[in-house]
Amino acid sequence: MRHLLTAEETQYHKDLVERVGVAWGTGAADWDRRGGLPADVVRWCADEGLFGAALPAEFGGGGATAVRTGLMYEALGRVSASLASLVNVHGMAAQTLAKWGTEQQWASVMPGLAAGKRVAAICMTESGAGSDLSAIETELSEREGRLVLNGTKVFITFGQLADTFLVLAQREGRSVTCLVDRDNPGLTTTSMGDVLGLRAAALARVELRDCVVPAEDVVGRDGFGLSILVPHALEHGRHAVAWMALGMLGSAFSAVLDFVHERRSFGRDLVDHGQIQSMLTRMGTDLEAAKLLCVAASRAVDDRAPDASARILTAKYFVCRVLEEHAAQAVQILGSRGVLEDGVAARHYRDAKILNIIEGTTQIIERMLAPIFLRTRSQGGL
Amino acid sequence: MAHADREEIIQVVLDYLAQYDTSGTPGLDEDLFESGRVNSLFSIQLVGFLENTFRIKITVTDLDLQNFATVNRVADLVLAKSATTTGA
Repeated sequence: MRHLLTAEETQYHKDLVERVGVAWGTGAADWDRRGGLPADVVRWCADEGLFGAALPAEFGGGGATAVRTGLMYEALGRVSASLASLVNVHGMAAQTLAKWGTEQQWASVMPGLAAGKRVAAICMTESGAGSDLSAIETELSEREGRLVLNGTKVFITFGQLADTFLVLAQREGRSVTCLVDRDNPGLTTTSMGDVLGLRAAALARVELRDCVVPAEDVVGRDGFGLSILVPHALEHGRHAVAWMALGMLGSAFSAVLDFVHERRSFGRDLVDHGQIQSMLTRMGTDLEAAKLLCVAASRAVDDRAPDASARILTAKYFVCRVLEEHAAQAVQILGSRGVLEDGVAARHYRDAKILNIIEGTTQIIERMLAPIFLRTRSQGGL
Repeated sequence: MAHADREEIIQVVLDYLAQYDTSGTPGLDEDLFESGRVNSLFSIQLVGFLENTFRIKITVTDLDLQNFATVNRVADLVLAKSATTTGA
């Protein structure tokens, strides 16, 4: 990726890849089996400054550019999509609060989030509301002069370990978000059980039963949860997911290249088989295209370009799609070695499917991107 | 464009809106969201665009449908924020 980055960006990425690799390069299979990340992994992310890396410096964050933020997710994604997702969901909540919080919230909550002393999760999905979040039923209502929150959120990434939850609800039919602490007596979390992918992401069902919410913990304004705050959070999430998928694609490709390099069949090196050549070439060219799209999206964010959102959507869509295709091919090429549960190919294969569902399914992104392409064409931009 | 006047602001917003909505120029008091001209992706892009173009910062206190629903209200918001930013 050196040809797309500055010398400083290249060095930052190289150092982080090395640090993540040395610390946790062999941990992912065990985390998947345990269904969560050990406490020392979470602490390491905090000590490394990863939780606050992308937050503005005025909040105690690292003020990283979008490119550097992306490179961080790439480095984490190489090792584990679950690990990258820990930092991502925290970032989605924290970035939303950084933009749309009040001064009081910034003073009380942001220092802990920026330092990674508290981990945040974001609660949107319900059993009857996934892509269509307008169907959420979790309700913030007033009772005896106090705000109370009732509802059930599902598939909450790192919901089992988060300290602070940013919850999407509705108040008298208008969407609103609020903060709820883990120690709120009305909040309970339980495991979602065994899942196809992101197995170490501690997915939780979050029950909210008469959670008393202080008025100062409402984030944003009624009516803006769905139109402003959720899109803001999702944009950060899509950017992160595109880059973590890039890291996964790169590590799947490396595993395939290592295997092809050492393996012979039918009296020939594996690379001399035409079908393998096709697979490798498709994988390699898609990987290069994925790098270009991710870097272009991040540069657009850093330049505050008007097409930044569209570029993020494009990168997320493309990289996750080719990851799913090539993770499957990686398993195919590696054969018996590829199907081993603990192997990198099998893990990426499982996780790739999830990345095409979270932060906007493939189909939701198509609904958003198709009109954008049409509009660009009508304006002579294609 | 830190010191744009009302007419300039309206024109810039209409030009920007035209990139997202090719169905014709909206009325200045037409509700952009209720009319279905724009979606939620546009709303956060609009916030970023206004912040960049007019060098203002839109915060939670500005989250009021009255501020974003029509081109005239967007112009009001930008004028009010510009006045605050420049100390006028």
